[in-house]
Amino acid sequence: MAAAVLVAVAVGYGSSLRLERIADRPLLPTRFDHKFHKGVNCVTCHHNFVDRGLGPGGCYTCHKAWGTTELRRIDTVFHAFCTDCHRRLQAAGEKAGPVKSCAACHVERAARPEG
Amino acid sequence: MPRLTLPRAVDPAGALLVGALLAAVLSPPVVSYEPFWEIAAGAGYAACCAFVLAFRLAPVPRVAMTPFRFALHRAAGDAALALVATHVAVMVAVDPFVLDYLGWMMPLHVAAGLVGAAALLLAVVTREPAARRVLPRAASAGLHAWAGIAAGAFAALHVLMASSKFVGWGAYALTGSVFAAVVILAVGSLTLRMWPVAPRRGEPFGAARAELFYLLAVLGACTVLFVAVPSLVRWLRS
Repeated sequence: MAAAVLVAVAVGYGSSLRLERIADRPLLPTRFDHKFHKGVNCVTCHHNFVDRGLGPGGCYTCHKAWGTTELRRIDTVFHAFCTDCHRRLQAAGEKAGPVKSCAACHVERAARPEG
Repeated sequence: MPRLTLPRAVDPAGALLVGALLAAVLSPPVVSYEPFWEIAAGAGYAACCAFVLAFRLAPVPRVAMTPFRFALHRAAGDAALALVATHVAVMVAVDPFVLDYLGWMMPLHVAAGLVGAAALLLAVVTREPAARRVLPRAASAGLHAWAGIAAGAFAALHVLMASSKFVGWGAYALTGSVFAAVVILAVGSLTLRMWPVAPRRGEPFGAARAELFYLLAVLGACTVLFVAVPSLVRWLRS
């Protein structure tokens, strides 16, 4: 019984500590070229202009501030946002962007291209 | 040069399960990864096939373990460990961003994979003669069995959460069923003394090198298929 309580406390503390670390962690930059996405409707990705009237602003900042559930899922959500579409296109037999490789999309923070 | 004989199907059910894994991963529509990730994924899926064969060839209570089955079980387990190590090594060598996941950002599928790999390492190491000499109580058959079962269960979680190749529910269901079958049968054999995989009539007592060669050749062929088919699809689409 005592061991179960200790495990529960440890998991709870670890979970809150993880959320703090995620909130403090900056976005890992990506190389993204709009010219490869000309066929995609702008609001498909920039959904903040139509969803709930969120208006302009950084995607990452908004998702981090949205709530603990969103914060916990932020890695999954942002990856799925891009890779799910790439995977659907591949499954349909079309050319698509990266599905798995981290380095295919991400760049080091110091090497982030300007603009 | 010794004359090669046709491989004997030691465990037809095991062969069927490996075939099911091949079908789950390679059935259309095929999603292909970037080149080196294809190699890493291929090694990972081949490790799953090695897991299945190791489970199917494992000793069970009340059934005498022949040197033949022991040799094949050990070869399958060692191959699984080598393939898991290759899977991780290729990813880390090619994609340094992967190491970012070793920390607070670690997703569930990575955690499951790490735990599964650690359990597999424990299962292999605890039956090595050196470990059994140094830690005779810790290096027990029971620890080996349960560590192996845990490795299989966590490997299943890792594959089902991590695989971007699976399109639609069919591949998920097939892969999950394969792992569930081997893990449940293993747990049942150990705890309830049910469903032992008994040696077949006419099965040799000792393992010839050819048998081990065929087992490893099957795993090698699986690796090649897992890498080559999606790579070919990617090349045709480009």
